[in-house]
Amino acid sequence: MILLSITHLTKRFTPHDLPALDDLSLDAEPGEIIALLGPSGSGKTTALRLIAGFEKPDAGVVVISGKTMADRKTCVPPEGRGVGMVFQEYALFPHLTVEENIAFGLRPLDPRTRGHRVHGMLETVGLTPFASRYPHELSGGQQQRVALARALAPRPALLLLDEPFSNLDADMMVQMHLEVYTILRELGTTAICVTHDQEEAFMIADRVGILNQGRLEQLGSPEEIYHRPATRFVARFVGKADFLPGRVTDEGIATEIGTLLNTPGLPAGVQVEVMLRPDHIELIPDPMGSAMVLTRQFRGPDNLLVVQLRSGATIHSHQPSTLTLHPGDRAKVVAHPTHVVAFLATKPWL
Amino acid sequence: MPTRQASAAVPVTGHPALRLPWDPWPLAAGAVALVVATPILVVVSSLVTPSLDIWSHLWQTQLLELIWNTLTLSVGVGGGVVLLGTGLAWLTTMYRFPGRAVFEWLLILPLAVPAYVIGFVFRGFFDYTGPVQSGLRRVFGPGIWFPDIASFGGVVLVMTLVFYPYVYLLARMAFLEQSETTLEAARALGARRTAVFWRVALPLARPSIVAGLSLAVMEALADFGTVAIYGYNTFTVAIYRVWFGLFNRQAATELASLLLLFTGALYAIERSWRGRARFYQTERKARPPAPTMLTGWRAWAASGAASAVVGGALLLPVGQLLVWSVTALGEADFDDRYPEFVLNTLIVGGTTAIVAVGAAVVIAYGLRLSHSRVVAACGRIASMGYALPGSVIAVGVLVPLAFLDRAYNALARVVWGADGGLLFTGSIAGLVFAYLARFLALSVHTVEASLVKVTPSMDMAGRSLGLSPGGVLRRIHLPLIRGGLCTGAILVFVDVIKEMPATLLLRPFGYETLAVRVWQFTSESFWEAAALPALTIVAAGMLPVLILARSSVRSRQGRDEGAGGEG
Repeated sequence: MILLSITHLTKRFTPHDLPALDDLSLDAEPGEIIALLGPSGSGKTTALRLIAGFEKPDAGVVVISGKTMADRKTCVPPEGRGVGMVFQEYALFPHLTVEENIAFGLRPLDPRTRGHRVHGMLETVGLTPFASRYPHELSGGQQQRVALARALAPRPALLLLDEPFSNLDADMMVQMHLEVYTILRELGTTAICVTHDQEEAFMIADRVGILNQGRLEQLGSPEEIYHRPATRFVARFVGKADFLPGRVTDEGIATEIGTLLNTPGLPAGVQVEVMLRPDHIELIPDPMGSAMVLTRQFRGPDNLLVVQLRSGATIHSHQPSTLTLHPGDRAKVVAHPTHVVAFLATKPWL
Repeated sequence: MPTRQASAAVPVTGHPALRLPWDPWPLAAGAVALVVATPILVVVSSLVTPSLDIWSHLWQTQLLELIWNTLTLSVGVGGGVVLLGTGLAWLTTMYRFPGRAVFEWLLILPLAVPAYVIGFVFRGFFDYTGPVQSGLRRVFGPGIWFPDIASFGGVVLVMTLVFYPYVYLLARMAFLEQSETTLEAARALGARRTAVFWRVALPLARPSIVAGLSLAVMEALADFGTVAIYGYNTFTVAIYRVWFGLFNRQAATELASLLLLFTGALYAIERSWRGRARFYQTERKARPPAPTMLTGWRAWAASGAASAVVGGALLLPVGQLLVWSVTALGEADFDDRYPEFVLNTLIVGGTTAIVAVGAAVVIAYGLRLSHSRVVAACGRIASMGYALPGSVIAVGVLVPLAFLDRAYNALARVVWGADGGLLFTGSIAGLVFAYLARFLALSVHTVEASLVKVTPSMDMAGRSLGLSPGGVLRRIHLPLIRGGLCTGAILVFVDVIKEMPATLLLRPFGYETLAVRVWQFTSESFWEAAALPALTIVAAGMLPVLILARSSVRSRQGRDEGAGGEG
């Protein structure tokens, strides 16, 4: 069963510019958490507002729980969609208490059920002692819990979260990631979360969609996105990536640091660029090695080193914090990619 | 001029001659504030020392009627301005319809027209002999019924049309400050557009609406010209009558103190209605609401409603005044003393504006340099006059001035052996004093607001770059606050021109301004003759509204630029 189905969703704000969202299609299963990840201006917030009903699509269809919410003819207003939304700035009602904020969307219920529901939500988010406070009397994390409780109280089929963690301090953010994830899982809520933070997306989502300039570049599990990026953009956006030129031969992909397995099955003879993550690069101290250490950043649990190869290309490498290499030292470079990712070269190599 | 920095230290560039053993500013500020507050204190003191004879006489004659009329007027006008002001504010902030951009600020303009001007135009226009009823009789015969404009309903209609902009302006600001996401959150929780208005937007704007409402009702309580020509007996009319009809100043003072009590009660009610919730926007960056496009009949209905209000409150009165003025100009009995009234008006207006700005500078600097609670309290007391009706101020001014005249004459008799004449009550000094007591708040607020732009570190920067305290004042402060001084002067000037009851009660015998002339003609139902002076007052009144509209439109522009949003 599909809970949310989006097909060919397109939105333009100015007629002659590129569309803010271009032909987005995705399905969400019940209970699934999907993160839409992209830089600012990538169309991720537009996608969310189209699903919520705050914008009318220029083309495409939105179906929630089998009901068509938007297509060429219809556009159900936000209040008719039964979709919960958590806003970046929380958008709590400043004239209502925490309790009244949570009860806001429960108008159709009878007062007893409403009371039960509000108390249940207060308990879920751990704010029972703050029920009669006003929003401005709460901390950022507490405000966010109210926003979440308010959106979840009417038991929406689908919850939309718009950069919900971006207003929090770093410590609070990590804690809230876990809390929100646990609550959503506990209630089995289907959720779409928009973010520009890849770690956040990986942490809370079952599947991650990468948006760039209004287009969906890739949709897949966090592991797929990280290890098997479909495009250079995805490769760069979800983590550090270096690209080394290579040439496909019968043995594999020949590069400066050795021959790698031709797992993508590319035809022999083509020029490619191989993507390498810092955690795939091993450095072996060797005075005769072909690479020279340029910089070393000690980061506590590990080191991030930049080494220069003979060709002049530089690559990054994660090394244990016990490593003894220093700038100027020479080393041998060995690559252990879990899955070799190669893109066709865009320009001829000399 | 020495500033505190001069007396307080830094002998590097200090002028020892300018150093005083005490801070001059707080003292000066306190003195100015105290003088300006005298009339208010006089009326308040008569409230705590009531004269029982006069009260029992008032009770037997007209007190109940006055109280009843004042209460019903407050409720009627209050209800009218809240409905009209809030509705129009919601319409122009949340919807797009033909002409919205123009209506948005045309709807502010009725503020420029004094109530008594719209009052007498409506009276002349809708009266039995006016063009509307004459026309109807011509078409439908003489038996046709038409509501009497000179009634409670007429007064409420006129005052609602004049005073709704207070609510409109404040509610509009409140709606613009609301974050779009707050309203979207309500819709995501299942609230329809109308429910969003009633459950979120309106409660959030309540403090602003209540503030606008109380301003409007205060103006209604202070009005004299309208209620007088509509034969609706309120405190201002009663004060005028016992003053000039009975020459009973004691009774006038008692009535004034009761009117003061009403104003105080209104203030207290406003405070309590604000409620416990403090309406912060909890967001860091609020995106203002984006207006929805209205289409079809809804769009035309919106334009029609806005046009009706602008037409009734602005176009009809101004148009009718123009027609009457032209008619009056063409006739032989044209008021050839018109230039004299204009000159008199300019003299009292200009004098008061200059004195008020000077006094405001003293008070504002006193506050800035001393941070003393006493000075702050003086400033607040001196600003209270703005909330008080002109009639109350006039009564409060006359008592101390009459005392000064008596003292001066007693002295004159001793020194020269002859009377000195009415030095204070017989000159425009009393008038300027009363205007000052009533309108000082305008200039104090604008000067204070512009002084905020001058941070203390600027003073220090100036001194460290080699400026003397006087140089700091001349080269840093003055350029920064010049705009504020001008705005303050214009606001005071225009309000003085419009002020009717205080002018009528305190003017020296035979001294006539435009407002006095309007009263003289309208009280005799000479609508056409009153048109030209009234039109002059309306034209002057446009000045501050234009200033206001400019800043208000600027805030809207900022909002449209900010509404781009993230993709």
